[in-house]
Amino acid sequence: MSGESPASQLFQEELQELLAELDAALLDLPVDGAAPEPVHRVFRALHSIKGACDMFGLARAVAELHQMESAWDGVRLGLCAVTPELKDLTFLLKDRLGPLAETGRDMEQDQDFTLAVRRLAPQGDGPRWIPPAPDGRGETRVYAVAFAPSDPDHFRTQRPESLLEELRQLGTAEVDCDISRVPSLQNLNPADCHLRWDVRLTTDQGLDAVRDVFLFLDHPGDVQVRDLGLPAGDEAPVRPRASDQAPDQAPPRAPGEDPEWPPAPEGASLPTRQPIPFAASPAAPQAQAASGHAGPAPADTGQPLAAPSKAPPPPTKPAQPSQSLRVDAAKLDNLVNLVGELVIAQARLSRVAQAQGAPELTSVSEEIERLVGELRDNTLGIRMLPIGTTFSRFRRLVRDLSAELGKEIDLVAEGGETELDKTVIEQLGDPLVHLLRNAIDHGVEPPEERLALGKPARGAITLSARQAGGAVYIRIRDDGRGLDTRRILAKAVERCILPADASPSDQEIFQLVFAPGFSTAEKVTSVSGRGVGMDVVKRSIKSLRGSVEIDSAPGRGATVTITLPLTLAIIDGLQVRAQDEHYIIPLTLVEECVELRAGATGQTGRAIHLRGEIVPFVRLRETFRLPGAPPALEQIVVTRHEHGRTGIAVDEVVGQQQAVIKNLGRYLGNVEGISGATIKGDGAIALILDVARLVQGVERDTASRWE
Amino acid sequence: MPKDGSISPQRNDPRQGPCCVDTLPDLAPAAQDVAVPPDDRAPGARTVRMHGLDGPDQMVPLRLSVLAALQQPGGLDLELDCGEGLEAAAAQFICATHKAAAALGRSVRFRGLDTPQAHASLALMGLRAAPDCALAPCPLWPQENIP
Repeated sequence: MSGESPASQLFQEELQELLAELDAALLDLPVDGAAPEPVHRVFRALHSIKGACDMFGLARAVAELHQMESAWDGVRLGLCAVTPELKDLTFLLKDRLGPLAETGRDMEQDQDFTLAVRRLAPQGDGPRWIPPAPDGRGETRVYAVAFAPSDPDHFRTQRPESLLEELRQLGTAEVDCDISRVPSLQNLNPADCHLRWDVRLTTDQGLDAVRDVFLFLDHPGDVQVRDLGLPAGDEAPVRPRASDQAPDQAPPRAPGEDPEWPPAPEGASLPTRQPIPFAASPAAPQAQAASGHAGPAPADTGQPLAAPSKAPPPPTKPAQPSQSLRVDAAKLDNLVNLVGELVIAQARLSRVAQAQGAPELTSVSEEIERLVGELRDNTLGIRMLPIGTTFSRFRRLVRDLSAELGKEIDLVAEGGETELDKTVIEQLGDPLVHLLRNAIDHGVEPPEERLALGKPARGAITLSARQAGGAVYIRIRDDGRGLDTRRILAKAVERCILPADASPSDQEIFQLVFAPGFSTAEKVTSVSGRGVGMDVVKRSIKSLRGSVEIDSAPGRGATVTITLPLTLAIIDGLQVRAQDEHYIIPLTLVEECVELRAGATGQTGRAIHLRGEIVPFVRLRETFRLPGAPPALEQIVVTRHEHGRTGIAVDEVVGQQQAVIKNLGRYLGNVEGISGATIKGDGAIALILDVARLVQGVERDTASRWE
Repeated sequence: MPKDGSISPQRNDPRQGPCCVDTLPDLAPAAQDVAVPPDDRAPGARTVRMHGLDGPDQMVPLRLSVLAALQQPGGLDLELDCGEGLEAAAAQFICATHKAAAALGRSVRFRGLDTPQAHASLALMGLRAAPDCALAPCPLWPQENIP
């Protein structure tokens, strides 16, 4: 995309976001498809995509989107239902638009697709559905538009006068504003809108065009459009305002019509004058409850924008204007690197100030330390993204894969707002895909098997995330058949991974599934069975300095828990010294520090007794072949890692330190036992230990020596 | 002109910092009297410049200032900058101010609503609703428009 214009790049990025929104909106549709808000979301997404494509002259995409939009408009108006066919076709259209977001080139026309969408046009006894004419024009008709914004802080996000201006551009508009509900200045929240408008619009642009003016209202029910017929008839004028009439002349209220609608914005006092009868908005029940008014359900006096639903949706939070800024990820990475350098420079300054002992210098140094700390936290915060951005793409995966395998599975996502470093999120996608595919293919049973076991036919996979301390826990839980420990054990013995008489614990058996090429599947399918996935999962998570654990109960499903650090850029570490070298041990691994006197281990050599438990330890001096003899009093840092509990014997525990992680560079590459390096305050380098691999290496060396 | 919703102490002197209200002994003939007889306002009439009607955020502090000014005895002049027309939020603010003044028995007049831009905005928003306003003459319904 480097050769493309900024506008084109922006369009493609925006299109990708809109397609993701369309995907999410489609997946949010309930099974019966009756809820109005998800339908509105789909419609809005289609409309926005159409608008974006239109701006870039992608005529074929616009034509197909328009057809699809019309079909969903029928759903929106309650003229037809959300059918599986409509959803599938919309997904198909979304997929066909995908390449467009990559290349910016218009899509190929698919006649079959167009015909299939056209067949979904609303039919039956409902209001007449007229496909829009190519130029959008039709016969001149009169429409009554009643517009009463009810969302709190309406003026912060909307400008009603702009909507009125748009209406005027459609034809001849007679606008009447009702100011009777405006409270006195004492009770006014200037952001709330208490004005109401009645517009009599004569236009040849059609009902859709009139409705489209109000497409982006937070409360779609705040506007009502009625077709009054041809201008010559004029039998159905704009409803007279109640205030213009004596109470006994007020138009008869339809059964169930709510006189308190639309609700005044929260916190405003309602005037006692009779308001205009109006159709229901989603916020109406709430307002009724608040006012103690227990009138009957609002009637449908016109053509509501929302399709009827069984239960009113919860009131939605008014959308706040977007304050986000799109920044190139490389610039962000560069900023983080610079902040890392600044942290190191600040540490040097602190050290110099401490050495010189000058009060003024110390004061400045402390101030800079505070500011750098804030800058570091804020900069790292910029890189944090909600993990829900990754979750959303899995919903489509579960939908498609379960359909392919003839299973019925719901994906439940929890904790999508949990934030993780951008780099972690980017690398997390593939492992999660593997785990989900496994859960769908091996975990959740087919419907008939589930029914026979007394389970509901629909299986569930729960994908959840939560943060605790400096780590994020991601859990994939299914309610399927669980891991078969006997089969795994048999397979391990068959492949000589374990001796035939081995009796490992369940946890040890579960860990076997991470072995390269290990699979208990009878046959290899297009989804899984080759035994590659879990190995890849383990490696990927490990490269993110994370860990994976499995828990399972037969017949009740399996749970895979991934533990990840919040960020890959800076870690909390424990600085230790061996001879003249300094090392950093990630603080998350450290359990405690104990002293080791020379000769205390006696003949046992490499283990200490710690409260009744034998804990092996490795001596950094020996591991890294440092010269000199160990001091009489060593320190052992007891760590807990994926292979168990191991002590690290060092000369001195210097203290806790935040370490800006630097990789070792391609010349040094992958050094066993070292995961990176950091620069200390005095400018010296400290190596960051990869404890698990360090211990593994020592074990391997020891074993080879014994052999 | 200050756009921060502040109340300036001197007319046409944007260098003055935010302050309270000043006294305007001379009233322009284009200004429109509302609710209370004009002689109630002289000689202690105050002027509040409502240049912060560009958005709700600016109207919040302005609302407090106007309410404070309404608590003072005497009349009140509200000077509006309608050179670029009027938004619905601003029209609502004016209406609410008018209602508050009437409730407190204060005289208030709005200056600046007689510009062509203001007329165009009011017409666009359908604010031809003077008969609807119980506190006629409505400030959003300029006198010269009454047929």
